[in-house]
Amino acid sequence: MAKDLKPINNNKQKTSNIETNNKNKNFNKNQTVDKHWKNAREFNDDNDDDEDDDDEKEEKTNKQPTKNVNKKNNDSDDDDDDNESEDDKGDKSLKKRKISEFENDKEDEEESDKEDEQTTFESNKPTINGKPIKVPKGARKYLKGEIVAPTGIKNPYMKTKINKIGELKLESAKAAQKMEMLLQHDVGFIVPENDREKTYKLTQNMIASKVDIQSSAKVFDLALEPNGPYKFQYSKNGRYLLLAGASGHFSMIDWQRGKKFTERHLGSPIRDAVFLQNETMFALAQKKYTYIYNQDGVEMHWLKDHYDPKFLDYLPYHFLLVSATNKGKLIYEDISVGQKVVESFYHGPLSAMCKNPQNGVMNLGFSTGIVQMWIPKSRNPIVKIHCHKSPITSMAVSLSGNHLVTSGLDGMIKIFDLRNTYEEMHSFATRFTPNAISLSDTNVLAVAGDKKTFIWKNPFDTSIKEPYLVHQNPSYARNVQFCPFEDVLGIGTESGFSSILVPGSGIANYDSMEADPFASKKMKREQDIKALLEKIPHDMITLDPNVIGTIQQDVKTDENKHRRQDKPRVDRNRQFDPKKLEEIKQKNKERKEKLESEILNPSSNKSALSRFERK
Amino acid sequence: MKIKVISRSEEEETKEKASDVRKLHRNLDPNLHPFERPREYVRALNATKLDRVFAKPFIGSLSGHTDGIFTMTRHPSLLNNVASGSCDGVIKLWNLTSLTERTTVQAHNGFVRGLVFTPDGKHMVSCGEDRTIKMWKLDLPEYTFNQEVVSVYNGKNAFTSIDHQSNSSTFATSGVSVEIWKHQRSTPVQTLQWGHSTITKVKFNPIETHLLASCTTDRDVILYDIRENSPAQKLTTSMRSNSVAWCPTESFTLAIANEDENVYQYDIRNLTRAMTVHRDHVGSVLDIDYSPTGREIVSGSYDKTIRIFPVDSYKSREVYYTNRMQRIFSVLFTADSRFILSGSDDMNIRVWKANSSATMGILSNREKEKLEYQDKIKEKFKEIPELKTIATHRRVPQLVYKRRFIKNEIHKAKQRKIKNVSNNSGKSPKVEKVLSKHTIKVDN
Repeated sequence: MAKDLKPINNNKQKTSNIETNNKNKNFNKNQTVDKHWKNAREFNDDNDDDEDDDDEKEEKTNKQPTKNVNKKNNDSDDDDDDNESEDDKGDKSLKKRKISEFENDKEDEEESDKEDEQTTFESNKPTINGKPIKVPKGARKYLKGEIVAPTGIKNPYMKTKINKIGELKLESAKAAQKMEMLLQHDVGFIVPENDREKTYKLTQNMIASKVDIQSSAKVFDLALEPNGPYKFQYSKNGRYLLLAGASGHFSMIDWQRGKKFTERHLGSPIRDAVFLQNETMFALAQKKYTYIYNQDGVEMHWLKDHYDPKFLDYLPYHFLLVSATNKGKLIYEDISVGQKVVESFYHGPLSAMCKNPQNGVMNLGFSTGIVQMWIPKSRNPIVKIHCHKSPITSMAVSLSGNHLVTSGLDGMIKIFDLRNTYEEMHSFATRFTPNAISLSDTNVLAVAGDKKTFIWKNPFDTSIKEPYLVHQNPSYARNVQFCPFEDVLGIGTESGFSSILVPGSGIANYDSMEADPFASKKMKREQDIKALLEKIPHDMITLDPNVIGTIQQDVKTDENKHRRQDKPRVDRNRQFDPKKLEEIKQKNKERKEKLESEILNPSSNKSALSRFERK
Repeated sequence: MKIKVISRSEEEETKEKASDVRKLHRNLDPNLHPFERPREYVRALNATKLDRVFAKPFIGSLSGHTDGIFTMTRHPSLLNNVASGSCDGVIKLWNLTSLTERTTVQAHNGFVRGLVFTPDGKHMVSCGEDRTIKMWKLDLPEYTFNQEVVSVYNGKNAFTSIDHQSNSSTFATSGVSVEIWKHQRSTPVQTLQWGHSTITKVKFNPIETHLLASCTTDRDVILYDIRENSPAQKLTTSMRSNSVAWCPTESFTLAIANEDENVYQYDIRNLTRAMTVHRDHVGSVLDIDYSPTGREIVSGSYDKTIRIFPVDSYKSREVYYTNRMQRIFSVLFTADSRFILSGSDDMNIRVWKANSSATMGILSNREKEKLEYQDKIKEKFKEIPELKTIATHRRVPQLVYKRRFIKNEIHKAKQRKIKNVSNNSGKSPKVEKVLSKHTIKVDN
C-alpha cells in the first residue's frame, strides 16, 4: 500500500502546484473531484477488475484538462526551482484560507480564533465604549449573537445600555469558556505512532483488543436474518436503540446493558422508526399509517392522517412528529396535544429526509437530485438546492447546523454550506453507491456502501485524503447512524444490525439538563415536564431561530425602524379601480367610527357588580 | 497505535454510594443546547403570563376610621407602624403585620391635616384645622399612645400640613405661611412667605435637610432654605400642585402631583423643564410618595385609582382600583418598599403589594434564583409585542378607560394641529424653548 501511495503523493504535489497556479481563478471543481476520486480508488476493493478498467478510462479522461497546465509547469521547471518555496507558502495559505471557512468546527478552533481576531474583527470593528472588542481564544463559540456597537444611536441612555449588553455578552462568553475546566472526559482518538501506520487499516477486532472491556463489548453484530433490511435509531441520550426491520419486526433495547424492552413482529412492513420525546414512546411508519407505540410495544395511537408514510422524524423541542408520505404530504403532528398542526404538499418522488437539529428545518431529498427545506409556516419550500444530477440517497446535517452532506446515486458525496450561501463547498466521489450517510456530533462522516462502510474524520477539510476507518459490512448496509455521546456507529444491514467503535466520533461530555444517559426516573419525569412547559410553538421554526429578541443592526434612525427593509415591488402598470378604492376607504372609515362610538357610548350599560352576577 | 474511546462507568457518573448527592454534568457547548433563544422566549412568555395570573395586589384594608383619611405617615424605624389621621380629628396607629389597630385618639377638632413621627421615633406630631399642633408620646415597646399630650403649640391660623427635619428637633408647618418650629419653643422660630396664597403642603428634603419644598394654592411650588430667612426658588405651573415629594436617593429630584392629571419630576437645579412627565391618571393627582429605593413613585388620584410609575417612564407600571374605593387623598410606600397604603374617602386604608404578583412569605434560595432568572428574561424579551401586550395590559374601570380614550384623542388633535399649522405656513412647528407647557415661570 505504502508503495502504491508514493506516486500518488507526487501526483498530489503536482496538483497542489496546479492549484496554486490557478489560485486567482476559480477553483476547478473537476480537479478536486479527480483528486478524491483517485484516493477513493486507493481504498476501494481491489478485487473487482471490471470496474478497474473503467477507472483507468475515466482517469484518462479526467486527466486531460489538467495536462496542459502540467506541461506548463514542466516547461518552466528550471525557473520554478526558486519559486517552489513560494509556491509551498502559497499552498499553505490556500489551505489556511480553506480551513478558515470552517470556523465553527471543533478541529479548527484554534486557528480560526486567531484569524477571527486578525481579520473579521478588524474589518467590522465593533466597539464597546470606543474600545475594540477582543474575544479571547476559544470563547468565540460561546458568544450569544454578535456584539453590536451603538452606531447611529444618539440617546446616551440607550447607548450605554447597548454597550452594557455587549459587555455582558463578552463576560458571559468568557465565563462559559472557563467552565471548560470542569469538563471531565476527553474525546476518543486513534494516534498512529509513525507515518506508516494507517488508521484505515484497523479492523474492529484490533480496535476492540486495544480498548477496555466495557468498550470492546460495544462491538457486536445482531443477526436478525429474514427480517431485514433494518432501520434503526438511537435515543437522544444514546442509551436506547430502536430497531425496525422492513418485514415488520421491531424491537426496543437498552443496547449497552443488553436489556430488551420489547420485541414484536407486526406482519406488515415498517418503513421508518423514530423515538419520540424519550424512550417511553416511539413511532413507526408502517405500510398504511403511522402508529405510536409505548416502550412495552403496545400500540397507543393510530395516526390516520399519515397515510402511506415513508419517512419519519421528530423535533423534540417543538413536540412535532414529522412524517413524509408517498402521497406527497408532509405532516407535522403535535404529540403533546395530539393534533395535526400543519400539512403541506410536496411534488416529486421523495428519496431522503433529515432534520436540521439547530433550527428544526426539514430537509427533503428527491429523486430529481433536489433538496428542499421545509418549515411548517410556509406552504412552499423555503430553500431549494440542486445537489445532484442523480437521485439523492441520503442526507445528514452537522450538529452545528452549518453543513449539509448529501449523497447521490452517482456516487458523489457533496457538502453544502447552510450558513448563508447554500452553495456546494466541496465534493468527493466514492466508487460505490452510498446507501446511507451519517454525521456524528463531532463531524465524523460515515458513508455506507453495500459492502463497506467508510468513515472520514473531518469531511469538511479538503486537504484530508485518506479515510479514517474502513469497515467491512456483514451484509448489505442500508442505514447508518452514530450513537450520541458514545464512540459508536450503528449500521443497519440486510441481515440485522452491527455496532462498531469509531474513536472520536462522540461528544465526551454530555449535559444532564439536555440528555443524560444515566438519567434516573425522577430526572426523566422532571425533564418531561420542563420540556412541555418550554414547548416552542411550531410557527417559530425558521432558518435562523436565534433572531427573536435581538437588536437589528442596520437600523439608523427611529423612522427606519418601522420602515420595511426591502421595498415592495410595485407593478407600475397596475390599474386601480377608483370605485373600489373608495369603497374600501368607506368601509374602513365606518368600521373605525363604529368602534369609537362603541367605546364612547356603549350600547349595553353594565353595572359595576355585573361580574358577580350569575349568567 | 494509541486508541482511546469514550467509556463511562455509571457509578462515577452518578453517585458512588447511595448516600451521595447525584452528580449533575454540564457542558455549555452551544451545539448541545439548540433553540436556546426560542426556548428562553417561551420561558419569558410563560413567566409574564404567570405574573398576570398571580397578580393579586390587594392584601387587606385597615378599617376603623369614621371619616375620610386625609393624611398618613410611616414610623422611621418600626416597619409595621403607620399612623393615619382622618377628617373628624381622629388619629389612629396601625400594626401592619396583623392589620390591626394599635391606638385611637380624638386629637383635634375638625380635620387632622398633618402627621409626622419625630426622627427618634418616640414622639408623633400632629396638626389640625383647630390651629393647634400637638406632640404625642409613644409608649414603648408597643408604640401605642394614651391620651396624654406632651406639648401643644398654638398657631394663629389653621394648619394644612406638617413635616419634620430628619436629624434635629425642627419641624415645619404650612398654613398662611411656612413656619419653622422647635420642640422646646412654643412659638415659631421662623416664618417664611412668598406671595399671599395659602400653602397646602410642606416637605423637608431627606438628604439636604435644610431644603424645604412647599406648594401653594396659586399654582406655585416654592423652595426654601431654612438657613436663610428668604425663599430660594419659585416654580409656577399651569395648574396647581396638590402635593410634593422628594426623592429619597437623589437630593435634587422633586416630584409634584398636579391638578392637570399628571405627575412631574423636576431637577431643582434646573426648574425650567420637567425631567419626566408621568401621564396616565385621568383625574387630578392628590398625593404622591416615592418608594424608599427612589426608583418608583406611587400616586393617588381623584379618579379613584392608584398608579405606580417607574421614575424613568411616562407610563404607569401598575394601576390599582376596587369597586368601592373612593377618591384617594393619601398614599404611602412602606419603608421596605414592598407595600403601598392608600387612604381614601371611603374611610378605609387599603394595603396593596407594590409588585402585584409578588409572593408573600420567606422564599427559599431556589425560588429566589428562579424569580431573578425570570425577571431577567422578561426584561430581555419585553419589547416583543406578544409579551408587551400581556405585561402592560390592565383592565380599568369604564370611566377611566373612556376618559383615557378622550384624552388620547385630544392629545392627537393637538399634535395634528401643530403639524397642520407647520405644513400650511411652511414654518417649522413652534417649540417653546425655555419653558415646557406646564412650567410657566421660574423665579429666583
